[in-house]
Amino acid sequence: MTEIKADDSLDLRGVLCPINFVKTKLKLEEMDAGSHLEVLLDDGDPIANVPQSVKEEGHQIMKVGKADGGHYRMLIKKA
Amino acid sequence: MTLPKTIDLAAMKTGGFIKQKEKDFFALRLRTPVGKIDADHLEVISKVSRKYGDGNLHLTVRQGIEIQGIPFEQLQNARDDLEAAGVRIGACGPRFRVVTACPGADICPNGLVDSAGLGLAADERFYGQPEGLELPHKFKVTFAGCLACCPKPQENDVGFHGLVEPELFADDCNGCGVCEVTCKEGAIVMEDDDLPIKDDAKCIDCGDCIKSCPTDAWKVKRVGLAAYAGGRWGRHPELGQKIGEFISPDDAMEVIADVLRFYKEEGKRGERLGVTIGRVGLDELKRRVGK
Repeated sequence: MTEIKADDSLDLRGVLCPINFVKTKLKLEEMDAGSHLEVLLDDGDPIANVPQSVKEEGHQIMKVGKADGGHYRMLIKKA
Repeated sequence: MTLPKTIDLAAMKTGGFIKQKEKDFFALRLRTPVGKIDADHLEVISKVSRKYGDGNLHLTVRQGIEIQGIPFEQLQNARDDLEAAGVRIGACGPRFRVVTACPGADICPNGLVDSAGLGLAADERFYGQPEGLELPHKFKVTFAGCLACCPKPQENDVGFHGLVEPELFADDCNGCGVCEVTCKEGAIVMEDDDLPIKDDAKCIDCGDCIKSCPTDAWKVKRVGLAAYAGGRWGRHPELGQKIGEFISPDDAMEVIADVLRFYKEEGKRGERLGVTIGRVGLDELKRRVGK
């Protein structure tokens, strides 16, 4: 599988729930359907909640992986 | 209208009239199951409060409304106005009380079952009906949509919360590990092959893994209700004990019916269900539920 390149990114380290999701949602609204957004999320509540909320909005989560420093990198495909 | 010489307070409680400290003033308790109130009804309640009461409403801890400061001679008028508009009157005393519930799966993102719908169904079946009358003491029932247990099922005579058993479809899993992070019970661990392994002894069937999974690899195996009996607050608080798991919504109504029958047969006057269970035994209650 070829690596998908993100069209935009958001660093949400240190951003609390649900502001991290709201920022993700607002960023996705600016983007074109089918484009990819990469977000950087904290461990704990953010990684437990944000993917779920993004999924409920109908977007596709292409990849979630551990990043350095205990953070998570999530790649979203806009619906 | 002149006041009768004696007021039968016990009889009045069955009509939702609660004596206030101030002489000849009453609060009128309304029947608002699961705390769901029609906005039009709220306007009627507001008018009745201004017309007959002192303009104050009390929100009870069981999601009810009490119209305060109604003089005795206006009680029937207040009641007539409310009932004409479809607002029902509540009750106190030794009987099945108005059922409480959280908003449930239709409203709350955490909801696993339709707790509000179940609460309304239980209220319709038992409230003011023979099965729920002439009990040893009050009998409180609640439905919680998930394991957060917001309406406190373990503090009710019979309480329920939603449950969901997760099942992994490994082919759909991309090994991201979100479920491992999400699981507050430490029941999911990512193995070397990047597949999550669930420890059934630790799993409490909350469904967080199902909700968080980006690829829907965790799926619903079964949904149901856990039931607790014998909980109460008051001067000697006690948490309800679990009497069943993965009960279907229809069977939940039968669980309530069975516990009510047990309580009527075994309970002593003035004793809450938890005390009866303590005396007769939890095993005996379980033996008589779901048969």
